[in-house]
Amino acid sequence: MTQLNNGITLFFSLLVEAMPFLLLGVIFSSVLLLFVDEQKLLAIMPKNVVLAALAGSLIGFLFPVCECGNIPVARRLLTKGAPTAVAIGFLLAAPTVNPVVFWATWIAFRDQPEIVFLRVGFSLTVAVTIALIFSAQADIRPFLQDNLTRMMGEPDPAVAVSTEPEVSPLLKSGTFLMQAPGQVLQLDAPPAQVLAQVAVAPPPMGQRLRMMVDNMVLELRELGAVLVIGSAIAAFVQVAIPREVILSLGQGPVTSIVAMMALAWVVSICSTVDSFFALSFASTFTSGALLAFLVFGPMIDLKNISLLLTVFKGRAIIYLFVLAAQLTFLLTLVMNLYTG
Amino acid sequence: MARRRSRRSRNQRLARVQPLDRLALAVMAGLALAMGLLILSGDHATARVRDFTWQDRQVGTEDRAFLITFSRPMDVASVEKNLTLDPPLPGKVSWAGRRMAYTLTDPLPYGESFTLSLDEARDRYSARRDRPSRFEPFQAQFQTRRRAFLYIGAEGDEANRLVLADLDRQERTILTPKNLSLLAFQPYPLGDKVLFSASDSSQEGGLLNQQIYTVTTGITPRPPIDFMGDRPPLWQRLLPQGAPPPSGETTLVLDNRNYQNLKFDLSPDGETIVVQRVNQQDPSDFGPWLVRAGKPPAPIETEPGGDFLIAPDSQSLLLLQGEGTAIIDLGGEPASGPRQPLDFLPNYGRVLDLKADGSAAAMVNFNQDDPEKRFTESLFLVTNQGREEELLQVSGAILEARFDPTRQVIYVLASELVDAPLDNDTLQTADAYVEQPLLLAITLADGEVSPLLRLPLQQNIHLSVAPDGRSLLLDLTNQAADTESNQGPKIWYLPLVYQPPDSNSDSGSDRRLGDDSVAANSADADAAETDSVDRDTADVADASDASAATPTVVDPKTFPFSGIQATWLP
Repeated sequence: MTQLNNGITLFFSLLVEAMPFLLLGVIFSSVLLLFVDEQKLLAIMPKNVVLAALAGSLIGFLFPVCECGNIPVARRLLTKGAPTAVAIGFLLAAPTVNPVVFWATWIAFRDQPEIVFLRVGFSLTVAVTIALIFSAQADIRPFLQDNLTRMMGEPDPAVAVSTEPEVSPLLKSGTFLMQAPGQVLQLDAPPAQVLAQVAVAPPPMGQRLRMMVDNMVLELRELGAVLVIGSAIAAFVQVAIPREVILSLGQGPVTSIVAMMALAWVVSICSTVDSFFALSFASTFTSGALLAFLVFGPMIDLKNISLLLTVFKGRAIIYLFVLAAQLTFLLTLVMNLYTG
Repeated sequence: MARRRSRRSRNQRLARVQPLDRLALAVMAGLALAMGLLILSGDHATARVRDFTWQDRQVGTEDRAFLITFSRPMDVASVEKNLTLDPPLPGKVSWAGRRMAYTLTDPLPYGESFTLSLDEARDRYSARRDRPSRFEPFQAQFQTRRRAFLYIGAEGDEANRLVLADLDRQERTILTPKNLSLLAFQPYPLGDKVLFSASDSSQEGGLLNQQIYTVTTGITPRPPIDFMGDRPPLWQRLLPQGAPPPSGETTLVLDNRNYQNLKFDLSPDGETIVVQRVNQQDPSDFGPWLVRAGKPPAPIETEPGGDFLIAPDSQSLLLLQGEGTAIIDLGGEPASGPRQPLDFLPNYGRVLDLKADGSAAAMVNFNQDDPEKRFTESLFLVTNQGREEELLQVSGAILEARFDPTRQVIYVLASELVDAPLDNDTLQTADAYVEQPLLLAITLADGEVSPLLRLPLQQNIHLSVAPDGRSLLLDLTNQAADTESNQGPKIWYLPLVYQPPDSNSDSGSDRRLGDDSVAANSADADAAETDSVDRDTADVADASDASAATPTVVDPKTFPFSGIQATWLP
């Protein structure tokens, strides 16, 4: 019975903590959808892949969202046609590389300022590396969920030849708009999204604001439901595997990193507050292990895997997860073994 | 048809192996290999001391513990075994992960330099696996503050000027200029400045033109970083510290335009000054004013009062009002109207001193309500828990009382009425009395009064307890006209020894008693630091060592110079 109580407490605390940030992310996403012209957005994106990855990682300074809020924004970036490197860089780095998290970490680790800077540095390194790996794929759509690829509109002609759509959208049920041969638009998609793709001239301001609210409600309903499921799973796992068990994995230079990464994955704590959570371990764990927690936690955790599933297919999530874990482990292990 | 479908599904399967799949799997394999190699290469880190809170700092009695932070979790036993302090300072070790706290059990002696060294230690990982470990030997110095006091000179060049006497360096420095004639002073908490009131002989008006100034002592305080409080911003820590100001730089704090300054008090944190002022045109415009850095002085809107004292928290003022003492909040500005007292203690006509942790006050009850005690005065200990305890009742007067900052002792100057000594030159009535001043020490735990000294008659006496509790300063001024006796006011230095009690209860167990006192003192220290600890439990702990801490004066000396108001620098 106490376990049920604990589980419910954990569930609600995760939900309460994440919901405002998801709302913030949805607001940013809706603003991006209706107020940012994709042509202009694409024009300012660097053409160089490395620069694009870096730029994506630094967008977090404009959209201070945590790991639940960044997913709607990353999804919007993808549908707006931003380079994969930008979207992946944003997805992995934005929860850490943003002013709110930087400030919170600074407050928590004032007497260990290197933690603050290494957190940002390691997060950027991991995010840019993974973004580069993902940009090896010229057309990311095979790794995205089908409903997202449908929203992405017309692919580049060169790419479109190589990847034939698996099933014609017309073979599904629904209402469609044939714009040109081969260009099909599903009309049951949210009106705002349809409009954003169809309309050439932007609608008047008042109408746009109303559509923004519509879109926000829609995205929040979709992602909020997923967040509830994710939080429930995270709460269940935390009750099934108590934190003490994870922490008892080890305190050695290697095992402490594994323990803290596992802890970060399971507790699914929001990146804006995780530094205070980590602070309670500051005296018992090495700086490397703390950094592993602070770098890996915001990238991938149990709770936001469910949200990631609304964007990526399972295979891509496994790549994201394994690569992020390996890179974090490697960087922090070097720190533990060589600097102490 | 079937063949077409199977070919299509094969195409699909082929199409599924994307460039990303290949690259991601290759990178993952590469990273796994690198991880394996790194783990096999072993541990190359050297454990070291990251931070020592007292390194190259000047500490005082208010600093009771230091922290050492290591770069990784350490083997506790190896650190405790190898840590040395020279000269030794007894203390207790406690650990919180990578941090070690050392809480001193005895008060720090002033004017000394200490060396902390840790030549070898093991980190926890190597200790557990019994492998050799690397440790960077650590050594650091820290000092306690100087043993120095201030006084207002009485003779020659020093007359009416503020003088700093440094006992460690055996030197005296005149701080204030010749034209300022000092009336009162109070050192700032770190001893770098002194607040004083003086009349300027180059101005007209004599005593009426008292103004309030600060003067630098030439001491650069280097207090340890307060690990409980907020850290100074990074830029402040990185910026090089400017050269210390030379001694004797006088700054005017409060002038005497329109108002006459009567008495002042400096808050223990050095941020707030309260001055009793009276309007030169309108004597009914009379009361305490609040002076804070960067703000114009403003009167405290309250009922008029008399003597006052700022409480140790620096946030409230104890002000004599009518027949009692009001406690007035000095915090934010009141919305409107006069400040209402936070509390009122009706019986006590005078507050003599407050404990530095604010837990208790020494107050005087003039015993006006009790006909049997009429014409006597009582010294009361009033705790913040509401306990009121009579420590002393005298037939004369209670002149001064000072808490020992390090121990559960209060030093009291009081007088008893005694038969006047026979004087051949004058005629006396049959029942002539004089007030015999006495210096007493009262242990707070059991209220035991031990007389220390009988002092000469007819003197103005001022008492100051050294911040490390190891000595007292007394200065005596003959009230009989100075002109007759060519003797100037004398400053006495009274070293204190805390004697173990008469050992009839436990003979040959000095060591154990010493340990007892250690435990009790630290219990008190804990109570002072974490206000939440119930005072009563600390008091119980104190009771065990009460007898162990009875001070006695040994070998009093007088200084070859004379002055008044001798006061230790904090």
